[in-house]
Amino acid sequence: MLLEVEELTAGYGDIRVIEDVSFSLGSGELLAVLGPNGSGKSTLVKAVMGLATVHSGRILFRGEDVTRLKPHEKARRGMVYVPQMNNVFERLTVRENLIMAGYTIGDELQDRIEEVLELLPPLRRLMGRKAWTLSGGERQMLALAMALVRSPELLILDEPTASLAPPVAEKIIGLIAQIRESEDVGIILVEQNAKLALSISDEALLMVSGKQVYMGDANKLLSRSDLSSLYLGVRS
Amino acid sequence: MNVVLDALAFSNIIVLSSIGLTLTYITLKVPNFAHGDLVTIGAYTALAAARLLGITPYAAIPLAFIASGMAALASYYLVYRPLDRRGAGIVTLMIASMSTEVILRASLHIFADVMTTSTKSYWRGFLFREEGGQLTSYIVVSTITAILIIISLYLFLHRTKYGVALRAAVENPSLASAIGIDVDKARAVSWLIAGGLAGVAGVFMPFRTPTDPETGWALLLRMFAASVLGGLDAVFGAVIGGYVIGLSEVLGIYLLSGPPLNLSTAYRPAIPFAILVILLLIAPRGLSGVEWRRLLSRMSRGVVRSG
Repeated sequence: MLLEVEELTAGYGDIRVIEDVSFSLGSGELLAVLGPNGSGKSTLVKAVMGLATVHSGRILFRGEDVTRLKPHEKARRGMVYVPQMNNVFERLTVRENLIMAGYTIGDELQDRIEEVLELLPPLRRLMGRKAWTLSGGERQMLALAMALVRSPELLILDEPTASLAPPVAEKIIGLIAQIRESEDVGIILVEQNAKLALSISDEALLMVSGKQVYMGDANKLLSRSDLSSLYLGVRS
Repeated sequence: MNVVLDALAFSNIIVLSSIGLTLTYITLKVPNFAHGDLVTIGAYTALAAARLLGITPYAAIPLAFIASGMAALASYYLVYRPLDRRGAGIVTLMIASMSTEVILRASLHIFADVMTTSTKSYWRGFLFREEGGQLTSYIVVSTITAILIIISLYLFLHRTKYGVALRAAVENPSLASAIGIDVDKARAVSWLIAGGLAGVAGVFMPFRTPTDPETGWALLLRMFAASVLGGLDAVFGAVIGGYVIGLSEVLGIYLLSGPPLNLSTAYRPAIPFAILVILLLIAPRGLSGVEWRRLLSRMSRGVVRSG
């Protein structure tokens, strides 16, 4: 198993935001983390990445206990997190952002950047631009590219379509599906747009008020009218 | 001509120290009130090297870089880092910065007194004297040093992987950490460089002004002015800010104290700040926040129309 999260309780400082959350993810699988605003979705993935305080529980990555590791130590093991906001270095150019993304990669960095640019060709013409001059969609594309440069084993995407226009959001979700097809990577996708996320996911985790209320097959969640209409705004 | 050269030398000191002040501001978003004392530590290192080792103050530049750099690093590890980790806000960090300043300045006073007693020579109000005409060597050396440091720093921050990582780490620590950059180390290196540059600036100070433990503190407001004018989030904005502040103070006082105005020199510190206020009213984010290309294109269109 790629990632196992066991009875995780986490938050910020002494404050507990999520309680007793458990799930697992295999290589090549895509897990959608869904739920209303304030349900603890982002806190969950931040805790997995070491960016929130873990009060109890365990996080195993490829069987190794990584619960107490620092974020940069987890990153070096192949766990890659793309935050919802501030997910690119605004004052650096697109090229510098990609180089920074591959900070821990050695000689093969340039080859890897080339591979990623083939997957995301629109970035090629933006290489000399500072990131703060990019549109919302271009920024998300750069954030995805930065994640891919690192050849992640686990890719955690925190609301990659937030504040994007619907057509751009669909394009980004399409890219995520494409990444899943072409790279052997486990993906955790935190999303507000449940229908869009579930359309490309294998499994789904539904969070409500910091608690896990569903964990299982993504398609079956859509058929659970009690949950999907109440918490996801999806009418079956 | 003399006054222009003096203004240039003064500006070099302000530029070298302001770059570091901006760098530390970017890392913690708090103004480092102890930065002026790091300049003084550089001056005292040069004095100690000259008197105890018998070397010229110029040869002491690397020593001054190390001494002030280590002092900055110590203040980061002993004061700012622990407070930042405990979630201290800007006000707390600022008070800590003021306290560090008082401790460093008091330590410099103690050092000056101890050295005066133990070496039987005076360690306050000292000057590095040079023979020569209007183009004294310290003006040449300080200008060349400033140019070399600015170019080296630019190349380091923009052309090396670690330099770009340093910029990334100070701009967005959580993202940098998530991609494998050791942010703590990057911040420490920033403080070391910032302190080191202040130390280098300090070596040149006694060539121009009688120096004592209070001198760096007295310069602090000019450094703040240069950093703010350049744009607090732009390291190289401090270069432009430093030259504007330094040149305006020295040239301003020369013009106002001579005929026909013959004003006294008591208003001296007000000159750079008056210019700072005026420029900030025009460009609130500092000179680096101005979109120069757009401005120049508008100006050229205006010239074409008026022509």
